[in-house]
Amino acid sequence: MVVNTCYRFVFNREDAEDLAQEVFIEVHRSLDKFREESKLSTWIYRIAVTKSLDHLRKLKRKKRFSSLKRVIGIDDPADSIPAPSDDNPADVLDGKERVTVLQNALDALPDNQKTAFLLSKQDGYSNQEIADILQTTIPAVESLIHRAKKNLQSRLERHYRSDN
Amino acid sequence: MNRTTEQRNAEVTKTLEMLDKMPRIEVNHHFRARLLQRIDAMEVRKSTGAVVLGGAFSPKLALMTLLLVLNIASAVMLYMHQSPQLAGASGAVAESMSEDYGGGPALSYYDDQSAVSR
Repeated sequence: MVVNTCYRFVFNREDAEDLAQEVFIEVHRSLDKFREESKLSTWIYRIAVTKSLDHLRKLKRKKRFSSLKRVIGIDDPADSIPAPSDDNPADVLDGKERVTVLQNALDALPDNQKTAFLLSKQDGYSNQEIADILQTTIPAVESLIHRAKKNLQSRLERHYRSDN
Repeated sequence: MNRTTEQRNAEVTKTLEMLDKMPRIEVNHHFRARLLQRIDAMEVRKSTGAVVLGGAFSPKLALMTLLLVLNIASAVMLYMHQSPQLAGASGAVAESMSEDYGGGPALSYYDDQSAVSR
């Protein structure tokens, strides 16, 4: 479940596994700080979400740096985007592009909207659990998910409109 | 090619559906072994660090060290600040001595040989 939570955020299997490792190491390191105010699983998922968001922030910085490098003429071969496995190359390309578009739209969302929305998309997370992870209330989670959907919709519409 | 609103909406829906279609992944079979290895390495590093520091490192010790360093630094600063005054004081003593013994040529030759020949 931890790996899949991270996977939702980073869209990359290897990164998700690395992040899950970091999560369990952090859990091992700070277990004595766990104050039993929430369920252990909620605490672990909170760490997973924090690590995933940190990873995305790092990627964003790296991306900004690599576009700067591209501007000044240094190539960056590290830009690889994962795609869902498919046999048809056109579908693979289409899927790749779609993943990138989706990732960019998600990246533009505020962290709390992104977290609430992505966790709601994953099986096994109730709104109560999401509220516990985000340390907020259920109505606030519902509002975050609603706003995230609206924002994503408008961003994607804008993208496909400008893509004409 | 200009997309119609319906086509655009279809694209948006298709893109958003990718999240619903995301497969659940199973962890690599080395995952657990790698994790335990990393935790073991971390434990070893931690215990080595404790041995090196004699197991006595604590925030209290760090604060005491910081205070000691600040103390020494302020003492050095104070000493450096007072040094020019000391030099000034020794200059004043020399001046008063030369006044006591007068500006006559008999003694001033120690300072200025040309004064004797005058």
